Parts: sequence; C-alpha cells; structure tokens
Amino acid sequence: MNLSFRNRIALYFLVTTAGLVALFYIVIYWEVSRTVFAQLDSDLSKEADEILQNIIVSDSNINFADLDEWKEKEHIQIEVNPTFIQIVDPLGMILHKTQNLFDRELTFFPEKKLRLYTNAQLANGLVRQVQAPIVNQQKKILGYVLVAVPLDEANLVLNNLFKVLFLSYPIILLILFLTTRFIAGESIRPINEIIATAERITRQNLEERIKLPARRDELYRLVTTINNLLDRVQEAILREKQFTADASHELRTPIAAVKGTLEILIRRPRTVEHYQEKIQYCLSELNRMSNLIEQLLLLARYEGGEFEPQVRVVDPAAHIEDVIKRMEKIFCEKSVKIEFRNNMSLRVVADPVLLEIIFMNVLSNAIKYSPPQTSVKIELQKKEDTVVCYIRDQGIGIPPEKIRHVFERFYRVDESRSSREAGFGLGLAIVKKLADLQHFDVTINSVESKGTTVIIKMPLLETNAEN
Amino acid sequence: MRILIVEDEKGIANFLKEGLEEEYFAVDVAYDGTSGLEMALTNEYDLLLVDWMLPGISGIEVVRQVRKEKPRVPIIFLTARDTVQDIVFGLEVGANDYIRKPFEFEELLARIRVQLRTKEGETSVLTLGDLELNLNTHQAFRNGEEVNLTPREFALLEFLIRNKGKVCTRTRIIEHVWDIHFDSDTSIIDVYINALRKKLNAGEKKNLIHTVRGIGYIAREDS
Repeated sequence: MNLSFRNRIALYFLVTTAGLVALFYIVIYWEVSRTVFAQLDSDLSKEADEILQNIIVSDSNINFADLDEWKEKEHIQIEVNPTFIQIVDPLGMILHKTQNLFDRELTFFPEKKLRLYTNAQLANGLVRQVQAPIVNQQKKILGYVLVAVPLDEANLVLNNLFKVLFLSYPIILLILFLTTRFIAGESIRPINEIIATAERITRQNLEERIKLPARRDELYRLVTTINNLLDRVQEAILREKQFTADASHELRTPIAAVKGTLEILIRRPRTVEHYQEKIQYCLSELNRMSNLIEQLLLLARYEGGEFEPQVRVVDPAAHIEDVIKRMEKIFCEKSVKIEFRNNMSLRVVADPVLLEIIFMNVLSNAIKYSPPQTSVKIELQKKEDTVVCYIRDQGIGIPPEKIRHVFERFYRVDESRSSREAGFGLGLAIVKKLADLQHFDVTINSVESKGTTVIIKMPLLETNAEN
Repeated sequence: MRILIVEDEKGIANFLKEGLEEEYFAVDVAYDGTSGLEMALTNEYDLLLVDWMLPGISGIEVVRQVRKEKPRVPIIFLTARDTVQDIVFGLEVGANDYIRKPFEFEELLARIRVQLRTKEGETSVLTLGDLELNLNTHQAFRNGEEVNLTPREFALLEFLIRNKGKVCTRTRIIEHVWDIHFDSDTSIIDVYINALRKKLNAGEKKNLIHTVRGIGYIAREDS
C-alpha cells in the first residue's frame, strides 16, 4: 500500500486504538451486565430464602405457612415489579404458583443444584429465575421453589448501553483518525519543507541550505546532517569544476599557442632562422603538453578507485637510490647536491612502481625550488612501526597559509611565476594520491626562504615476522 | 588600427602580435592584468584582446575597469574556459565578443574586423571619391587601378579615411598607426604622407590628403 507517511501513522494509530477501545467497551458492557444480573440474582435468592423459611417440611409433604399473608403480599406487589413464584414437586408438577402468573408457567429444570440461576422463557418475555430445592431432614428433595422476575428492565438497560457503545465506536474512531492525521501532518511539515528545499538544490544551485527548525530536536539534527552533506557535495563539485577548468586551461593554452604560431608561420614565406625558431618553440610546447597529459593520465589511472597497488615487501633505500641515479643529471645541471645516507636495511610494504613515482615527484620539486649550491638531504628513520623518510631541501619554502593547498591538483604556490618554471601543480597531487593508495602518510613542513621538508611515513614490516 | 593584447602566455601573445602586425595593425602587448589595465587606460586603442585568466588583475576585472572609463572601445575575450556561464559572464561584464582557445587565427581576424566595422558602421570596403580600400585583402584602388602600398602606408591611409572629413592630429595618427615602441617623433608621419600622396596621385589625379598646418592632416574629396 502506498500511503503517505501521515496517513500511515494515522492508520496504525487507528488500528491500535480501535482494538483498545473495543476491548474497553467489551469490559464495560460485560461488567455492567454482570452487575445487573448479580443484583437480580441476589434479590431472587433472598426471595427464595424467604419462601423456603415459610415452607414447613414434613417427611414427605410440603406445607405452606401463612398462606394468607402471602396472598396479601402478592396482591400488593402486583404488576409494578412482579415476582413470580412457583412451587413444584420433584418431577416438575406444579404444587403452587402465584396469581400473577395467570396461566403461564415457569420453566422447570430437572437439576439438583442448590441454587440454579438461569434466564428462561415465560410466554413472550424473558425472565431471570432461581430454582432452589426443598429438602427435608433426610436430605431428600421434596420439590423446588422457582422464583422469577421479568428481565425487560435489565435488558432495556443493557440494550441501551449496547446501542450507545455501538454507535459511539465509529464516531470515536473517526475523530481519533482525523486528529492523528492532523497531528502527524503537523509534525512532519518540517520534513516536507526539507524535501521541497532539497528538490530545489541542483548542480547549478548548490548555494541553498535547508532552514534550521527552531527546536533542537531530531529534525534539527536531520537538517544539520543534510546541510553538512550538502557542504561536502558542493565542495567536491567545486573542486571538480576547478579541476576541469584548470585542466582545460592547461591543455588548451599550449595547443592555442602552437596552432596560432604555425598558422602565422605558414601565411607567408619566412627565413630559415625564423622557421627554426618557431618550430623549436612548438616542439618545446608539445613536450610540455605531453608531460601534462602523462601526469593527468597517471592521476586518472589511480583516481578511478579500481586500481589495486601491487604491494610487495621492498627496501625503500634501494628504490631511493635508483631514483637518485636517474635524476643525477638534473641535479648536476642545477648544481644542487643530493645526499642520501643509509646503513639500515628496512622493509616496508609498498608498490615499488608507485614508490619510485612518489620519490621522483618529491625530488623534482625539491630541485625545482632549490637555488644552486644548496643540497637536498634524504634520510630514513625507523619509528615504532613505521619507516619515516625525510626529504629536506634548502629551497624557497612555502608560505604557511599555502601549505594546506599544495596537495590540490593544479595548485601552484606562486601563481605569478612563469608557468614554464613551475610545472603544472600536479606533482604533489600525484604523490598524495599514490601515498593514500599504499596507506602512506605524507606531510610537509616548510619555512619560507629556509627550505621545505617532505615527510613520508611508510608502514614497517615487522622484522620478526620476516625472520 | 591599434590593438592591445593582454595575455600572460608569451607563446600566444607572440604569435598574435606577429600575425596582427602582418595584417597592418599596430600591436602592443601586456603580459599581466595590472600593466594591461594601465596601458588600456592611458593609450588610445581601437580594440582590446583580453585573456580571461591573468596573473595580477583578472581579465574580467580589466574589462570592468576599462568599460567604466571607455565605454565604446571594442573588447574581445580570449578564453580557455567553455562553460556557457563563463561566456555569458564575460559578455555581461562588458566584452563585445569572445573567442575560445584554441582558435583559428583567421576567425579571430574576422571577429576583430567585425568589431572595428560595427564601431563606425562600415563595411569592409572604405571609399573616398574614386579611392577604394579593401580591408580584407589590403588592396587599394584609385579609379579602378590597384595602387601598391606598404603595410604602414595602408594603415595610415585606412586611419585617415576612417576619419574622413575630420582633422587628424599628429598625435592621434601616431597613437593609432604606430605601436607603443615608437618614439614620439611625429616627423615620420610627413615622410609617409609624402610617399602616400606620390603613389595615390600618380597620373595627375586629384589630391585627397590635405595638410592642416601646425595640426595634422585631413582626408577629403574637395580641395
């Protein structure tokens, strides 16, 4: 069933209350009718006792005392609230009956109970009657006294009660249903507002937030949670937009430059030197572009989430040495010294390919921002269950307010520096990504114009596990 | 016609300058927003080419500021962005047109010409009496006969005819026909005017460029 929330609440409540009210009504009805009959029975019982006292029992005969007085009594009581009395022998033959019975007879039940209370038919009406045995000293039953009163009055009361209960039942339920529905509607109105706002929020319109309810209740928490979620979504989308904008700018600019240069070049004949200069320029621009594309592809490959690093037990020192060997030429060109001393043999769990890309990116940053005649120091330390690698340069450093951005894609600390020098701002983003994949921790400490230290923490493989 | 390029990418700025100069424009280049804005506000330019992403002041800000002071100068945006919002935003700020990188140089040229044309409601052919200048092909015709002009001569003539009937001061001529690197010795104008007159009037034709003594020159049909 596809009911709205408030209708569903109202319906559940209704079913529950319907059961409870019905039970309550049944109890009332049952209690009232029990009381009515108990009252009648106790009256009848008293009457029967009185009669039994007036009966003189001999061995096998029943005699009535004060018959005259009886008659009188009957006469007084006539028809207002008639009590019918009938005395029968053990087989049910009538020995005596009061006059108000006329030609009617009370029904005799051949049972030997001390007191038998029943409803019985008397001509067209119902009566409540008690049947009591008349016993002699030898406990022999000589006959029975039957005392009865009409049930009309009691039935009237009970019928009325039943009618009231029966008619009020649906009305009460209807009122309850409507009230619950209203209350439920009121209490979920904030939810409807939340839905309306959330529906308005799209990719293009991420600014809007859901209004916080006045009371600090569950809805307040729900709204806060949704708003926080929206904050994060907006942030992610902005980052993605920024990335796309940056990537398209970085890719289109060299293409535009190369394309334009060649277009102009081909418009008319030029000197050989002119051609050489322009073609050289285009080639360097194309190299740059191809570097950028490589880096973007690298990021894309590891970004997707499907990539599983091929982790092995490796000695980081060996890989650092490899990277240093490969980069030696660049270090020499810039007259930056590289120092790496290590006499420990350490074992970490890492993907060797990713490990080398990380060191290569960190080191090329170190060179890029180091002035000539300085040095870059690499150090490996064992700390508790990690291997910590420090890469310290004596370069220009990073202003403190910019450190937290350096892992963002396309972020460059100095925007005004010519883009040729600074690269694309993807190196550290790649480092961060690859480090995350291998559960490394990368942090950066930097003092402006003193130098930068990159700290890479790698999980150490327990040596005893290895032995 | 003098154009200012505000573009931080040297590669792009260089080929634009080269290409536009070969199309007889006087071209200045600014490599960042701050100097671009300063140049745009101090010098007379017939058109600005502004890149969106600039170090210092952004391209948008440059356009906004220039628009405040010079509401009429045509501005074309160069942008590597391509979302509709970006372009709409650029046009709303006050650019007349935009072109996305990478672009065809010919297309940029055509767009520049459209802006210069709409500035004064002209077509791509300027006329003065029996003299015709085709701005697309850079050909000049006198009485149906082609006259060979150097790029600078053509630019000078174009400027004078665009302002036909109005006196052009030496300073304005220098500003619109030569670029910023030219020192302000205005006597060079006389040399070019003489050369122009010689080429145009060859064969006893009526002189169209007249000297306004002590002020400058005027192009008009009647003497």
